[in-house]
Amino acid sequence: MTVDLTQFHGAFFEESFEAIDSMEAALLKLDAGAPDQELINTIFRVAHSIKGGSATFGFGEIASFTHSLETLLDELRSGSMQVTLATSDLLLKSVDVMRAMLRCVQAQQPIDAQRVSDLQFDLELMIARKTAVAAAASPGAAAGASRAQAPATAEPRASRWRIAFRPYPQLFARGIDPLRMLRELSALGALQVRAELADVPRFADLDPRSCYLGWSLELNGSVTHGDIAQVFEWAEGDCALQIELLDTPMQEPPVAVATQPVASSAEPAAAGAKPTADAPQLGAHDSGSIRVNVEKIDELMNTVGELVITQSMLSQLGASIDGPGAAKLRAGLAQLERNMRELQESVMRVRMLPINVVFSRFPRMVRDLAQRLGKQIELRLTGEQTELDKTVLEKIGDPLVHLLRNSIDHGIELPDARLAAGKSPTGVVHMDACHRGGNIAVEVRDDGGGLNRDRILAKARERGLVGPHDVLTDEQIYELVFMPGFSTADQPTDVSGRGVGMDVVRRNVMELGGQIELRSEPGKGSKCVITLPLTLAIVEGQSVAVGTETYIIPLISMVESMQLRSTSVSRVAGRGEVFLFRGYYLPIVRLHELFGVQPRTRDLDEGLVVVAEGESHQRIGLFVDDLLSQQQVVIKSLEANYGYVEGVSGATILGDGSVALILDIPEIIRALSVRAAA
Amino acid sequence: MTGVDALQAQLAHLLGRRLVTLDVSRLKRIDTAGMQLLAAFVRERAMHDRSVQWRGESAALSMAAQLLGLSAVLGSSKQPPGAAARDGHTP
Repeated sequence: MTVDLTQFHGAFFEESFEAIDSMEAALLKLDAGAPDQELINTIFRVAHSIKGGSATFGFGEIASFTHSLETLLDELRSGSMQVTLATSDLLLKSVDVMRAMLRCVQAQQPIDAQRVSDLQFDLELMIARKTAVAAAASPGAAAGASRAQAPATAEPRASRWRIAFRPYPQLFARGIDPLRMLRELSALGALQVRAELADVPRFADLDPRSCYLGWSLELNGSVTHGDIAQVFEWAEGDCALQIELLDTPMQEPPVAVATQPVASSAEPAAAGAKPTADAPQLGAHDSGSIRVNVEKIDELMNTVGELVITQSMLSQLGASIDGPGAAKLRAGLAQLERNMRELQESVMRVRMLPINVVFSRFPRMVRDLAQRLGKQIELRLTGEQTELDKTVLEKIGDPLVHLLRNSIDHGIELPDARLAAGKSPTGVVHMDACHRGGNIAVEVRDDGGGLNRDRILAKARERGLVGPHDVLTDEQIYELVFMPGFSTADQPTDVSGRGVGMDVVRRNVMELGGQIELRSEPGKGSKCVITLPLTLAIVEGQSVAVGTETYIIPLISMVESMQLRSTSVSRVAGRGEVFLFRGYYLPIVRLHELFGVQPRTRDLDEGLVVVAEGESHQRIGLFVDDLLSQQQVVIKSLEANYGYVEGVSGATILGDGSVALILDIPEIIRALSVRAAA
Repeated sequence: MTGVDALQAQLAHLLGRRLVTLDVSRLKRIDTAGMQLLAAFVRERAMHDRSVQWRGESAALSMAAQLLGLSAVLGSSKQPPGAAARDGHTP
């Protein structure tokens, strides 16, 4: 029976990418000189499991590459090789290559073979150098290495093995190089090699991509059958292999013979000989979690949303019913409401992931950037365990990368400049995430030079964004940074400074229903705070009434509500009504006019004004009939279910079954200023 | 595997020459496919009683020859086994 393995590809890629991330994180923590053994084990396990997976799925190139990587890691693990800066760099490069290969295979695109083979060669060179040194130093070293590979089994005795290795022609095409295997074998003990050239055709008839060579080998060393089989594991199915014990030492199980192809018989043996450390660790990794497709969770979420609506319908109905069973019914409905809330929260939690998923890629980025720019930078990450919705998480990565790059490139000064300013030569970039109310705040802070107020202002004047004699507050100046195409960098670097920056960051954050705030102190550094809702599926809103309609204003946009006296309202030609609010004149937007509905009242004295805030602290006053209640509403996409409506970000279904529109305040303000400008 | 086709074409040109010297001093890496090609080339020359001279030294080549058991085949010309080689650059 054959099993269609492609169905597992998705899971393999997902797991592999995660594993590579954790490998990278471990590598970055690895100190040259005094490495933490547990970290090396972690790194080794990742390489090992990716090797296994890719071989199973027939991704020969990845398997072959990770095999070389694993060999090097094994040397590090057994302590026969030291962790140096060069090894760390090489391993980090390997991480990049592995990631790139997986991406290519996933997208079914060709792998950059040159890059892979170059790096693989470097890996092998590093191993070969070590092996050469060790072999010269002490003949026992090789045996030591083999012991390190198989600590689980009983100490193998010195034995003599005869190995017949006859690759099939396609071996090269699978990305497998016998040279590598023979090198590994030679590390296990004294190896005698005899090449069989009988099948090699005449030069003119030779296809250079086919393997015609074969080998008869004799290996003397303290190795088990499993050790040898493991070396040939990757040629499984692509060669004929015979492993035969020549000398039977005492107490060793008599003759272990594997017949070709290696696969079936040798594999379990090899697996048995693998370091036992794998088993419990893998178990720990899997502890009680399962992988679920996000679509399924969204479906669940949707259904729960519908249930909440049904439940509130029932509650309203229950409140109006009288009769003998009414009290009992209401008690039951109250219980239902509590349970519903819990259910909703549980489902929401399923979608929550720690922000570490995003944070974890930053140490590497900072390391590389700092190296490239010649700066000394320490990255501090705190609050990595703060959880937020997966959708938000996916979209917050890029803005954060941008802020971080800005801090490193523009914020932190070169070590000399820092010393001259009386600071430590190492700059600190601090990234912190925490919960604030129903929101999450992510802060990027650096102790660099801060924003150059005068330069920003000069640049803005140069571009005509600010009049030559306008006086701006610091806040207004920092606000300029968010203008499209604004960059003060004299020479845009490839790191940042092309001016496609902060405006995009702000737009991304706004799209997530969040806000961004920039603070800076000359010479001391700058700070950027992004405030985001925990989820995009539910919004905390204030419902307001206009005539018979109900609208929802997201609480994050709400500043205040008040009753205005019509005497405090002024009329400005072409701009409609304005009123004074905390020293600023705000335009009044009458919701009934905006949406063309019949209001209960048009008299400002009878209705209420809700002050709402959009981008860049722009505020407006929304005139409504009345405030209703504050509630969490489940957002339903209006575009998906109906069509785009200006000024509306979505809709929700209320307890009575009616539909309420959720207002998009920034959008309303934008539309308003466009109209005013026209 | 990278470059074996080119190498084969280059070597094919040299096959009939009376004297062939391969400069391997710049050879930094070689895989089994390349070694196989070299071995076939040297053997083919030997069949016609022609040798291959090696110039320079390459650690990568020596190591590969030793591990693959091809030192004897490649070193059948003047050089001792182990100091054998590839590179199509030199006629």
